[in-house]
Amino acid sequence: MGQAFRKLFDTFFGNTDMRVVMLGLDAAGKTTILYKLHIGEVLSTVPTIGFNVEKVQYKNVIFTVWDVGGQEKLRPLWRHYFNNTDGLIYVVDSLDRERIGKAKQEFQAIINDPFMLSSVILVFANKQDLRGAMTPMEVCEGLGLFDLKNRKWHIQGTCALKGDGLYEGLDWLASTLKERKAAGFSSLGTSSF
Amino acid sequence: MNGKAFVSKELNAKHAKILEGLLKLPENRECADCRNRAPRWASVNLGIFICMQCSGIHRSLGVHISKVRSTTLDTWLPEQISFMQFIGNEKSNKLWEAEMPPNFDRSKLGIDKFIRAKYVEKRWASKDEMQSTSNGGSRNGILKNNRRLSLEESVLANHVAQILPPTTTRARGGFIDMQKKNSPPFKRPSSSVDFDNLLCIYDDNQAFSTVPPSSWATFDCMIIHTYHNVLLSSRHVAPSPPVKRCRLDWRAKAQRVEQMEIRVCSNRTCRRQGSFQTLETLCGVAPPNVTVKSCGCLGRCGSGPNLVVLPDGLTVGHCGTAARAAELMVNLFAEAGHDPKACMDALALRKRADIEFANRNFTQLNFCSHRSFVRLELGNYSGALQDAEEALALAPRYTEVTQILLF
Repeated sequence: MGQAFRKLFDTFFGNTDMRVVMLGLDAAGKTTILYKLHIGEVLSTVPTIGFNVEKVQYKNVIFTVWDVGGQEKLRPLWRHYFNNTDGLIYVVDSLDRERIGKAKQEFQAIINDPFMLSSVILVFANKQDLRGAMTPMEVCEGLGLFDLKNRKWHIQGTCALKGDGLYEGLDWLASTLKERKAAGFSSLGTSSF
Repeated sequence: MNGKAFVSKELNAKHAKILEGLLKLPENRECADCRNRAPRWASVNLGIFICMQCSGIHRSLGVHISKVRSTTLDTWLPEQISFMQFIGNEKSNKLWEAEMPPNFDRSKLGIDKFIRAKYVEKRWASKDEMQSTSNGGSRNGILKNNRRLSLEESVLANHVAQILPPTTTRARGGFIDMQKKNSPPFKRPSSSVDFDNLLCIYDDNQAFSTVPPSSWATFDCMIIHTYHNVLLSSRHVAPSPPVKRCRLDWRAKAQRVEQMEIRVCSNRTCRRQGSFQTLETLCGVAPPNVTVKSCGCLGRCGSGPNLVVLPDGLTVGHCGTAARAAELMVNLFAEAGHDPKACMDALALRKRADIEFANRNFTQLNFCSHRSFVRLELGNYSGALQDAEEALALAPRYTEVTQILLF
């Protein structure tokens, strides 16, 4: 009886952990997003060689966010972070129309990796504050998100400098994670669109 | 769309060697901005080598100002390499720090602010070349949200502004259905732009003398030459090309180049009916003063795919195939007598030439494919076709002989 109550209490008030890996092409804004979420400030960053990892608590979910460098020669290393990952945050530079094709290629490679088949996908269309940036819909098209079957995904326009959209994205991640936990973690959900 | 991004292993090794060599040049031994030793990063559109700290700041400027790549951790495209060879730290700083007092203390400002002042505000940039960015007047709202010109574009825009004749105003609004045979004639009365005149800048090395005499004359030539490279890479890969703005030159105040924009609906209904193909074709054949963009629903889903020509506000419906798009483009912008089919052929051939170009040798073939590209852009479709064919013929066997034949 006590245990049952404990369980009930935990589902409402307890903290859940979620391991998230944040990927994307170089200069998409991954490190800036990570530190904006972690300390709420915009740091002047240098290109990430290797990785950064921080814990971000939001609404009783503790996200362990791994931010991995996106330079071309570092991309083959991404797969080492895939194992045991609940969610993928894919960051796209919305201004960089030239490389959206490349972004798609890398994105498709990630989500089709056997270790990532059960993870939920959150796409941040970053740098929305800049003029001429692609809208989240255009990014959606560019990445081929509409063609995804049996995956849970969500796209969110963000501006890491102001912090717009970041917590809305985490909101979606947290709620989706809870849904999955409730559903027993095994089933593959349908698209959120 | 991503075909050009593929670079073979051998080519990569070759690029790495070239970059290594470039980094050993005395002018590239220190960071272009903070003067730290041994830069390992580069801005591929500014053509400079920078240190890691500065690369972080450059990345925060956005890709419309600076595109940062690592010399060691990224793969490079042939165009980018040749552009780096052409520019380098010394030439770049001659332009961007032209007006800087000789004893300027850059550490006082802070490197972050310094870089922003240098490339975003263009505080010390050579005034002759850079005024293009400051007084680009715009008559209609579309131009206002254009991005700033990059170095190469500003130089080109300079020439365009000097050459193109004045344009007049036209009636606005209207709707055209591409399906109807007897659609009203929509030839633009004001589009009698002398594109061939413009073309001579690119084609003929002698024609560089049209550049106003300045200390920058020699630099201009190279930039124009390499401008093709940049254009080729950016236009070809991007679904909607970088917005170009032609400025009001002091001597061409009355002769303003008319900026036009074509917006193709990429909403669901139009997309299903092939608006993407239209978009791609239009991007490929658009003259330099025409911007092609995707947009949301134009409210005529029944007659889709739709597009609107701005600033006239002319709406065109049922424009769903590449052929129709080419037909439209020729009708709107080109001189009389151009065949839309020739334009399509040229586009297709150029694409093939580009693939060849990505796979094999890139130095000589380059030239033909570039010229074809520029001609295509300017409306000289038959010339483009000829060039593309030439480029294709060149592709399989690249020798010194072909080089001589070319020049």
